Amino acid sequence: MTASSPSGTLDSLGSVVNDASLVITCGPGGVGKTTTAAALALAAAHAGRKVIVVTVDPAKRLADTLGIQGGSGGEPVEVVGATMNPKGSLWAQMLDAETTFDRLITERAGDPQRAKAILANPIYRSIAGSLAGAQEYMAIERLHQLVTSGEWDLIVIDTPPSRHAIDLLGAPDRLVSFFSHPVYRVLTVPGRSFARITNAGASTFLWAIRRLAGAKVVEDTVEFFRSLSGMEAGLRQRSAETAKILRRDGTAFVLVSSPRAEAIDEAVHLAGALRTGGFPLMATVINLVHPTPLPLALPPKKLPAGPLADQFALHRDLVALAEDEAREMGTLRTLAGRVPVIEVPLLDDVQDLAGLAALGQYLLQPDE
Amino acid sequence: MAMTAAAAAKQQQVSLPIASRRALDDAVKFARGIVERQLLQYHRLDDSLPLPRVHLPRLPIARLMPAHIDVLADALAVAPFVPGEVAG
Repeated sequence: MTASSPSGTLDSLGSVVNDASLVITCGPGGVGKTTTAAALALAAAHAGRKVIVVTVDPAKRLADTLGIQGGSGGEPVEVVGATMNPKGSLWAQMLDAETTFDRLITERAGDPQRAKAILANPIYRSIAGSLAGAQEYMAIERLHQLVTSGEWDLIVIDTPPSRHAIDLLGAPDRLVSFFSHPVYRVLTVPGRSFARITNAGASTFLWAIRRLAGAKVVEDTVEFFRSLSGMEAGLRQRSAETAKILRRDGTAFVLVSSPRAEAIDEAVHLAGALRTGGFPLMATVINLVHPTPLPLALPPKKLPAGPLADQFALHRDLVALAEDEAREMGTLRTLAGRVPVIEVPLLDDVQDLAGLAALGQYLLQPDE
Repeated sequence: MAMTAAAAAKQQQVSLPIASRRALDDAVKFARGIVERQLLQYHRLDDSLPLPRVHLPRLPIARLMPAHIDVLADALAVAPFVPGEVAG
């Protein structure tokens, strides 16, 4: 499974870094996904590209390294000293759900009064940052903004952990479905027609909500959805465009996992979802792999307890663990087929740009 | 795990091929690296969350099975609290 790119084919992480226009890292939580995204972005900056890495929730020290500690106000921040290549630069951005939604509303509302009404709506304020799938949608929304800006050679999106990543990939399609939902249609019936429907008690949904939450909540909810209705066409168009961006040439999905069973199980699930959705999976990275110890001659017979026996036991455990991990990784390798699988051994914690650069080199040239 | 394989073999009066010595030294070095990283993490944890900890054994497995849950449960039942640096 490969996709063509401006200069050929994205068939290795090297070509992804040099030629792709959009890289999306996805995978289970706690496997070094954000670090991998940052390392790939830095490698592309070293290659002379203008790169932005967008993340949702980086570990504190990585956020410090990227200069986005404290959220950076939702705006891109240039990573100082990232590369000596005068043509290259690395930027980072941490996503903030509310900021992204507010920007969307402001851009798409049509006029400032409408935007102001939506932003002030209590229902909007309560759901903007916490709506189910909000993080996923905002990542997709931001992706669209970045791609259409034409400002970047490469955009690297670090997704939330895998279950949410699947939601993320479905976000554009889901938004279109939302606008087609009967409840949304009822809520956005204009003016007198709406009044007739609700006054007649035709909407069981609204009646139930009014009973449960009170009339004010219903009024705010209805007002919110009605104010959204003017934006529907634009949002639909944007979602459709994003769905295409996610599948087009030059887009590369990089699946990141660890060799632990629970991570592999999730990664396998996610790889299946990528395939089913027609998303271009270009590489699989397995971080935190325990190396196989050097081979050992047969241990002496009847070795009594002592320091040497302890060392033999330790060696035996490490061999067992490496074999166990190899077995788990085999499942993902089989599923990956022709997609490259890159194993990254358990390294020291990557805390700074030098560590990211070392990881990047490893990802691009794992055998050297 | 502080001594080399050669020293450990000498202490236990065992003859050990050089390849085995190298393999054991390599394994010990790797394990020591993991322990050192864990210690750093403990210090960071103590800084931000100075609470007593329970240390469970490291299991050399990639897939947790019911038998391993038993091992962890047994260890949990008898494991002493390790005070955090600040709390302790």
